[in-house]
Amino acid sequence: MAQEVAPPEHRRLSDGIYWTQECLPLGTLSELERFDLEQWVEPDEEVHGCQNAYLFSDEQNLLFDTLTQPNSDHVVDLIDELLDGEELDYLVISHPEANHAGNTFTILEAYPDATLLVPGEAAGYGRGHSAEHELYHIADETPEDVEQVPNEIQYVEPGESIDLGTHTVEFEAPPFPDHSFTLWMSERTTNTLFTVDWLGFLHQSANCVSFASELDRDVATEQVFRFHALAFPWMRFADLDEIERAVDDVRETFDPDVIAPAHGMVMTEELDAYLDLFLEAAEALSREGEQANMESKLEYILRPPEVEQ
Amino acid sequence: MTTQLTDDVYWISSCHPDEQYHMHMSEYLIQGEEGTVLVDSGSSHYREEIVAEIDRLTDGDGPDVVLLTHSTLPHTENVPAFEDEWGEIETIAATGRFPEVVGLPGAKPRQLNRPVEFAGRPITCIHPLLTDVTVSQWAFDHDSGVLFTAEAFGHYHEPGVCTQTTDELANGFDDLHIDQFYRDKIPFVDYLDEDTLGAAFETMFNILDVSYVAPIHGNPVAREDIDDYLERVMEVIENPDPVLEA
Repeated sequence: MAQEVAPPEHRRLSDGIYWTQECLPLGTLSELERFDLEQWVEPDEEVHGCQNAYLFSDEQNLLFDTLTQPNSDHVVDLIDELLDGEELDYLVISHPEANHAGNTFTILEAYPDATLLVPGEAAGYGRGHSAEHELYHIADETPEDVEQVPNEIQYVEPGESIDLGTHTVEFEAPPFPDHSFTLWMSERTTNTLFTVDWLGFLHQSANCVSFASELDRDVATEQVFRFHALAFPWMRFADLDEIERAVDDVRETFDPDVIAPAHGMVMTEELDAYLDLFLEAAEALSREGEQANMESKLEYILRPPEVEQ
Repeated sequence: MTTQLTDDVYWISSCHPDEQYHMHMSEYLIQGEEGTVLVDSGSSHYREEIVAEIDRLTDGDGPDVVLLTHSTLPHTENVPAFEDEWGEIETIAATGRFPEVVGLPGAKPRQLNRPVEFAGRPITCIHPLLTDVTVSQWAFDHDSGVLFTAEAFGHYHEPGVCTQTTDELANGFDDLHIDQFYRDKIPFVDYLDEDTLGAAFETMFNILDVSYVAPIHGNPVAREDIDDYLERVMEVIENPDPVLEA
């Protein structure tokens, strides 16, 4: 079955905040026979991954991430529609991966007065190496000479904030880092935490762009597990005490009312339950990295009978 | 700069200087009997010298296959330039689905966990044991024994040793180069459990007869240095206080 990235859908998250979502159809149960999906998907039902971007319509307008290049023809029209013809003032890139930043230069070309904000400091201990070089190159249509791009480009650090009018966004160091340049973002008025790659989950095709509380069935650990197995492969070898400490950090430091991930549904109610669900998924994921499992898996993969060592 | 690693595997490296260290941006060219496989595409920052070097090594033909261990920018951004130079090239993305989402609309999705012939060369791609992004893979070239590991096995280096493999380094590894690299590039290093990750590495290297581990950002690690390198990485994981600040 041909699989294509779906055109973006959108909905209002709260006054002046829009959630845009493009879905990636991953197939049906029969096509995903390696997955154990019976808990949460019907045999003839499609499983979706997704990419989210969030748009603030305020005295100043801000877009957080860009959706992906297959939707480059749609993304500017969507922004125009939601901003009702107003200009975009800020484009924020959570991290320089193509699935978050792939339409950067398409959007900057459409809004030459918009300021591009990109993470300036690696999430690890150091400042990162060659940050400037890497961050400028975030789309395969990157202009030959990025110095000619008229937009202002600024690096942002955790702790910096932008007053948009009604809303104030602040950039946050991610308690769950993946790419070394990832920045989370929070919004003070609505107490929303934008967690980028963390706390996403796969969903059923009937449930696109729905709040987690609106889904037609409960979120299963399997959905959360499968997503984090893809997005955070290091969690197979994680120290679970460190994972729990980071979740506690989210609860205590941020204590959000809304969690808005880049690859899952927006969570507006019972957030502790989703954090607990993540901990269950992380524990299951760590079992995959246990020695006995890795030994049998690597033996099976790497010593096939047809290849002589 | 090109260094011959094995009979038919070549290390093409560019050095990116920092205030303190150099960091490699490397690609590797496999010159098989039936064709050439370029592992990774390098950075656009060094596009002209990379194209010139590949052109020289392939007698102007360019690679038959580009196999990407890291389908994220900047590691993919030379692919369109290569096709402008040498025509359409079979490109393998480090993602199982939707290569267009990672900016590679003309690439093929990867096939993991079994040998696949690229230009007649059997190569097995696997999920990395250690990676900074999900769209990455490790690739083992069965004929040469070279294991290509994307961001993992990286380390900085001092000027003057840019083209040396680790067995040629007069003073061996500099622990700080490994320590600093992991703290810069692998931001989740403190979340890892050194026992389970170390056991997985040990299992893999017991199974595979690896001649060199070939990272994007470091001098290739020779067989005899792999244990030392991993021991240092495990110390970085175990020690929550960066050695470099001690």
